[in-house]
Amino acid sequence: MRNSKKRTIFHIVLLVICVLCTGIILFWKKQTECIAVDIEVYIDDIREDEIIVKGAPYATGILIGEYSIQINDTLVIKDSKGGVTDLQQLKRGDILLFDYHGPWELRDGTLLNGKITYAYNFRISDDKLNLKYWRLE
Amino acid sequence: MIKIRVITGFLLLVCAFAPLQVCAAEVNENNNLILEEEMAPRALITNVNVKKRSESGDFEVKADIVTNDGTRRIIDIKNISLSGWPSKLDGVQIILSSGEIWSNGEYATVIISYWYNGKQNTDIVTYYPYGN
Repeated sequence: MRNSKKRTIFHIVLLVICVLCTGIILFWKKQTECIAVDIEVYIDDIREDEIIVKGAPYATGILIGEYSIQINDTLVIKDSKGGVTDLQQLKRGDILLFDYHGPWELRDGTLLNGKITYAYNFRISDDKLNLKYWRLE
Repeated sequence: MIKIRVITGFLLLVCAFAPLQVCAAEVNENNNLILEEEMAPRALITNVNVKKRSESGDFEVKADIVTNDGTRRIIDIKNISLSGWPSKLDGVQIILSSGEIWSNGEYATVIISYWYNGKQNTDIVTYYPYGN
């Protein structure tokens, strides 16, 4: 009887600690996350299931490294007129713009449309990166 | 009389076609005369969409910076907009100043002000020539 009471108290304390930890994690995440608009990257490589993008050489600010965008059913890339771009027609050097919700700093190789980071509103710019000029060819 | 007129006319023609030497010059900050060959070029370099983080690191502001390539000083800051902000401030009104140029163009600043937790807060972004 006494052991059962002790066990119940132990479980309650454990539950409270878990709730507190979750609250702290959520609060910390909210404090360290950002919302950014009109982030500019260029397409470096197109693979079967992902698009490798890099920060434009002239770009400043966040997301200037190399990242990946997973090709899935939910990925929609719009053109400048608001229509949907055919992913097959994307080429190296195409400039991709998007909005973003996630950490300020990202490691190279991070999935942009994953669980930790949330990139959305993808659209292709009419401009293309001059790969020759930037010596990327 | 005719000779005088002919000579005067000839002299006038000579004067009219004689090349005039114009020496372009300007005065620098110390009131010293600088000749044309010493003058710096006047090209204006505009760095567009320069994104910079604020001093606290909480904001990112985008602006176009116009630099006089001759003097290497900022002469204009325009198209200022907020490009990044903390998610905790989503929905909060964030006001940007119009951009101020200081020390005769050595740097430019944009002031960010917003209300959070009942307090007015400010932050600052500093731009240097060529968008550095």
